[in-house]
Amino acid sequence: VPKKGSLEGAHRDVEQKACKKITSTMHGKINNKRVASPDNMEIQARLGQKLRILYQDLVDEPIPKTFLKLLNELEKWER
Amino acid sequence: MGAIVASRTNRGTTRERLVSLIPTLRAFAISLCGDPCLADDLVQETLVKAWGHLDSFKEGTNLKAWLITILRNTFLSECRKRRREVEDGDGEHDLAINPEQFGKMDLNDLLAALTKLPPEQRVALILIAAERFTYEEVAKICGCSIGTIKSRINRARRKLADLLDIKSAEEFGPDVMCSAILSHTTGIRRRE
Repeated sequence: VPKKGSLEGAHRDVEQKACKKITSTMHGKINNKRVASPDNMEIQARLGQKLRILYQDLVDEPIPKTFLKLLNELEKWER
Repeated sequence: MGAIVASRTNRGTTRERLVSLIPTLRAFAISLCGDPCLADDLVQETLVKAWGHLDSFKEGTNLKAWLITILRNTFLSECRKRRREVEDGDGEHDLAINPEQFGKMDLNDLLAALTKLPPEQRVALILIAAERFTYEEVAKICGCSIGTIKSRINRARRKLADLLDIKSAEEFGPDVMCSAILSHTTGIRRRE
């Protein structure tokens, strides 16, 4: 059971919530401190994967015409 | 006269390079603010600023990093102006997004979670994890030390997992990508 007040305020809520659900997946924490457990590493690897998929989806979107118009305008102003 | 013509020709080439980088700028902007309209405003402002300061861009250096720096600075000053978020603060009150099953997590959930990270952490995470800049490049873009970037990345990663209420990697469902790429890009070796 974690000691109250021993946690950084920033993560208190999360930690408490997590500690209520002590399951086999909780081995990412020892003495209420996060450790680089294989499961945590796996989570981070998978999060990174999702992030790149999200980002690539955004990159693949077509360029809105407004930007091309904007660049045309900028070129005109210069002349 | 000749110089002016030459300058215009260079600008023509630069214009093409700017256009080719718009998708990257948009992806960065949307993942920063989570709202395509705000993001497009951000990209527009970045392009106008970039065009106006092309003279200060050193040919042969990284145009993408230069544009990303402008966009990042514009975004952060907008954040400060609006005081919506506190830099590197911890707005922990509306934490969990609680998708019922992370395996079915919509990318929109991830985008929403991303926008709940403190702005500086968001910038660092996107540039390292998604845009694949090096720590050194990101430190330069953000005007801080590599150590600061590493710390922001660590905090951002942890917080993102908290926001999405992920307790186990199994919640992601079956793996679909090559693990070698992951271990390379995240610096994390997968469990054997």
